[in-house]
Amino acid sequence: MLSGVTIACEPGRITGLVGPNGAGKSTLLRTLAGLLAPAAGRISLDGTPLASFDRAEIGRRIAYLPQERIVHWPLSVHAVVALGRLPHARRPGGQGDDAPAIAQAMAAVDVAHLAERSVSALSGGELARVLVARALAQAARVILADEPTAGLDPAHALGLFEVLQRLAAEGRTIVVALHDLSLAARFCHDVVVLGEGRVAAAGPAPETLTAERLSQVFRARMAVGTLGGVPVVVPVAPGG
Amino acid sequence: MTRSDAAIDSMRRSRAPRLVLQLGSLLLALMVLSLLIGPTGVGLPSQAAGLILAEIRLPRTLLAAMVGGALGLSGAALQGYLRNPLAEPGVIGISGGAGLGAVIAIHSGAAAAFSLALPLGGLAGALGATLIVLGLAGGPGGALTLILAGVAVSSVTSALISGVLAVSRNPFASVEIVYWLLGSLADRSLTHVWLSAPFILAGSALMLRVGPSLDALALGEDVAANLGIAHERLRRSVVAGSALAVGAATAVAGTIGFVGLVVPHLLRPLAGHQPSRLLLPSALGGAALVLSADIGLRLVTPAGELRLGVVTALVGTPFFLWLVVRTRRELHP
Repeated sequence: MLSGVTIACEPGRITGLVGPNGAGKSTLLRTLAGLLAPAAGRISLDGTPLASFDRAEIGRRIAYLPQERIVHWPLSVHAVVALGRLPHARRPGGQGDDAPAIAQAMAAVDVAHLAERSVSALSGGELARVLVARALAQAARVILADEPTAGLDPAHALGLFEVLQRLAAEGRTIVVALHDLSLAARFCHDVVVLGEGRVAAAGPAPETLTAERLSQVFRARMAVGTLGGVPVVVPVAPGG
Repeated sequence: MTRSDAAIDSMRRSRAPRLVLQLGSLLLALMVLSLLIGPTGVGLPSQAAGLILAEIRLPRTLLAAMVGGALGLSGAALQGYLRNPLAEPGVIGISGGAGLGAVIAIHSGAAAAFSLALPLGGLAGALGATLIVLGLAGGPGGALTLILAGVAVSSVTSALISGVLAVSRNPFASVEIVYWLLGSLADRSLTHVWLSAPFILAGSALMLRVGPSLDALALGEDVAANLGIAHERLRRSVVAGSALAVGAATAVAGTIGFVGLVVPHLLRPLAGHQPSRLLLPSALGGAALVLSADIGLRLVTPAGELRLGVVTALVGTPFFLWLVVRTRRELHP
């Protein structure tokens, strides 16, 4: 349950959603994607209520990347990425105008060489990148990603955030739910801290990710600092 | 796009149509063969031969292709929708409902009084069962509630069929019920073709349209919704489509097992595991399988003692066991 949440996500910026388990990060993302209807309140996209767009139109404007990396059949990588074109043509398969968008999406996350491979033969990191490529193939201005780096090794996690950074620099609006607070401190321009279904703080990352606030929200003593020139957030002891 | 990309792309595009072409040619050849074989060989065109061809072999051939196509296509659509390779029309109660409707038509004596009462009863049973399953499964609940509701309805229909058999005082009706449940295409007329064709065609049209939605569903319901898929409409298309097609097929031919399960299974690797590319090939493959089973049946037992449903299960089981062994080898090489 979420209530009284008011946030604004800006183009050209990465907005991080952080908070303890059950704080409502995924619920908020799914609501922003139009997958859940809010019981009260309003979600607007470019000033227009989200509810007034039809499904395919939302798919062309918002790409949603869930935490679970599900592919039910051993499809080829190309077939999975091509699904991102569905809201544009409702006709997958990489024909016509779709081919450049698919090729571009695969190149952006470095999976072009896997195009003919079955997704069942991929490593966890490769699959994560393929699913990001699917979202990129949607060519949406808004990307909502739920824990995109969960289960990825540090190199792949950094690589993924570099891709997100590049996409934001191109003017896209990126919203990511994150458990890794150091990644949030390092890569997110803005951070929304959620606690018990409410917004505990929202604003530029250095202002919101303070040791005091994080300790309170996460009920654990947290330390915030820099290490090797990058911001780091670590839990010190449980129980605030 | 580089040259090799273009080559890969054209290869990718040509694979699925080639499969359709091959299966289509196979089906056509089997249909011609089915028209040519029978207890009285068709030699020079004579009036009697023309009559046999038009009144006996043509309906049988058309029905075999239609029934097999309906079963294969429904199996592929349901497996894609439920994202479960074990799904088939029996799982969601369609076959059971059709069986119960037909059994009631036989038991009540309606089938004896009026020959079309049997297929009409089967059709009504299939549609009734489907409405109950859809009602029980409720709104957005995904595949699980649909399977649970289908299993419940299947159990009730098979219990009721057994109940009808148990209380039946008429031994002829009981034998007719048992034979009908085994599935057959013997002694069907063009009336059966005209009766079932509209439902099979309408159901198939509904299912053939959902290919891209089934593909999207491979990434989970949330991603499919994000890609613009209306889940409720997809569910209605798949369930109503298979109910119409399989209901009509079961109504005219009795219960024919295994086709809906095995055909999509066998063809899936050839279709790149993509649900949308599996639909048409499964329809053609199902038609070819039932047609060849019926041809085999007519060659081996011209008097028609062995039943079509028995043959498809006997032919289907070894295939299925081979699949089990192959899957086991893949899992534990």
